[in-house]
Amino acid sequence: MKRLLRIFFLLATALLLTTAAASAVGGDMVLIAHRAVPTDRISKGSLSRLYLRGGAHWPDGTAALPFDVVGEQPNKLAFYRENLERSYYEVRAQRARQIFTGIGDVPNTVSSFDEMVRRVAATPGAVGYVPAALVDGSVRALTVEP
Amino acid sequence: MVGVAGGRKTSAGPGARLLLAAMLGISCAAAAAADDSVPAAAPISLRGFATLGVTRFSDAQTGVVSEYRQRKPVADDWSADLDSVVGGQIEWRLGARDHGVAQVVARAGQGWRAEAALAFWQHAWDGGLRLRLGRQASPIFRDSEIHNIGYAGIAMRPPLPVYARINALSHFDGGEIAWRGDIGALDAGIAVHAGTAGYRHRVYRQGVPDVDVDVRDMRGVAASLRYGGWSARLSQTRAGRHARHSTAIDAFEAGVAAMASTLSTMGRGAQGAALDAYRLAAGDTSRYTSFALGWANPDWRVDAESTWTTTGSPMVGDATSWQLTVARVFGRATPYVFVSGQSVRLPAIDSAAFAAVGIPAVDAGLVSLRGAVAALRRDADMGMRSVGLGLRYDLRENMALKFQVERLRYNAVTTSVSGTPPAAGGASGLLVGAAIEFVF
Repeated sequence: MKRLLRIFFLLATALLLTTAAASAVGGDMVLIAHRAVPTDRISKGSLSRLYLRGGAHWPDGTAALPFDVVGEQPNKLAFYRENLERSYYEVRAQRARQIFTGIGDVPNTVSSFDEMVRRVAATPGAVGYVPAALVDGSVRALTVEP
Repeated sequence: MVGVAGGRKTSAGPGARLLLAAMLGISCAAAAAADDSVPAAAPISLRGFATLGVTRFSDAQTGVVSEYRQRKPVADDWSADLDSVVGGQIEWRLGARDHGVAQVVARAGQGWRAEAALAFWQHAWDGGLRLRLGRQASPIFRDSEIHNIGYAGIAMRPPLPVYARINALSHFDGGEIAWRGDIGALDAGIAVHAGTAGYRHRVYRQGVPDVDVDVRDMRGVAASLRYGGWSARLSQTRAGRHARHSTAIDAFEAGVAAMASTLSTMGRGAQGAALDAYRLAAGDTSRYTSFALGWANPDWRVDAESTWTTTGSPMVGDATSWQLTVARVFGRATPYVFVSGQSVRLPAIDSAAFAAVGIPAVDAGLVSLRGAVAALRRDADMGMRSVGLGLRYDLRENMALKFQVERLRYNAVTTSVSGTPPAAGGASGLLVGAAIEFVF
């Protein structure tokens, strides 16, 4: 068993040494919400819980309804990395667990960022994320606090 | 191995298979059209999952099973039995508070026989409280609920030393009340559950009959906390009566009962009572406890879990198991390493229970019974260790490829193809495999 443990720690150390090779991805995404949402800021922790767990509410009691966009666009993956502090693919795996055990809600999906703006503008309590260039007066931009 | 927990025995006929085929067909069509999950607000949604995995084990004498319902162990030939599975799920939402879920699963290891893995109705209240009734995912250990859903885990399967013993308990019939919400900055959850379970436990040695496992009066609690990248989970499930029946066990039980009665009539009631501890069909009070810690950020994931199974039965023994997995994320590729183990503690046979009484016929019976006890207890030693590495590669956002190599060292004869126990100190083998996993 000691030999097995030595092998394990050797492999774990090899993974650890690869940290320097990690790439940081930036993103030009803005968090948006329905205009009636009673806040203009949200903490990373709350945002993470909202997207990873669901079932959250805004301070006025309105149900918070997260929207997600289909596809693997680099700026979407950057949004997950920077704001949810998770790998996008890990979140996908976690959502599969939630769906197939029936223990959690997953975000509604839209097919494009343009549709994201329209759906968030039209859905009370909705929240989503889009490239900054798409933000207009139909939605409220939220600041994500550390 | 005769002393494990179980999930409700579920047979499925042509109806269940037709339902599965229909659900999968509709799910595939939906996936082709939408390429992602159906909006949660849709009144009816159809989804599915599939894993096609092939594995090979280097030991021809002792095979590997992912659960004790598997039709035969994976030994020294390529097999799809360990991991391959297909499942379909239909979810019906009735307003914002109620929904029902039905899930049908077919595993290669069970000859693709379809079974209902989930069939529950859930009602939710404001404040994160919900009630669920029906067949639902097992909360026994942390990853019990994803036994069938390969895509949901980092590795190809939950570690065998921890989970092979309880994977047949992937669901139970009963109720659960749960709350999930925020406590300050903490994401917290707690659930209490009660119900029943059972399954047919395969015994792989020729001439040894399978065992029907019946778990009654299950009660348990599971609590979880998350903060930032940290997570912790603690759970305990207690089975008020965990009974096992087979023709061999029932004959053994009859022998024990007859001997206890004989001893009692001889004024040796204490010795008869001591013999009673060796009964299996009467059941024991198994208790399953799990404590898991996890940490994750965009680049790393570390999961650790320790579990304790106590039965109070000298025929089954108590077990302690643990696992540690470290994974590193490089975009779509996630290499990982893991180590896990299980040790089983069996108390020494109580000599007083089998002590000679000076009557040749009775003493011969006691010797015979003691031999049967020793043979049955031999199957209970499921001590096992594993160390391995693997790679998960996310081909698409609903599809992953996995490769895994694992060195297993084990004591048990449970999955012995030949019936020959490993040499003293155990034996070892290399388990290699690859899988492609989907959700849709």
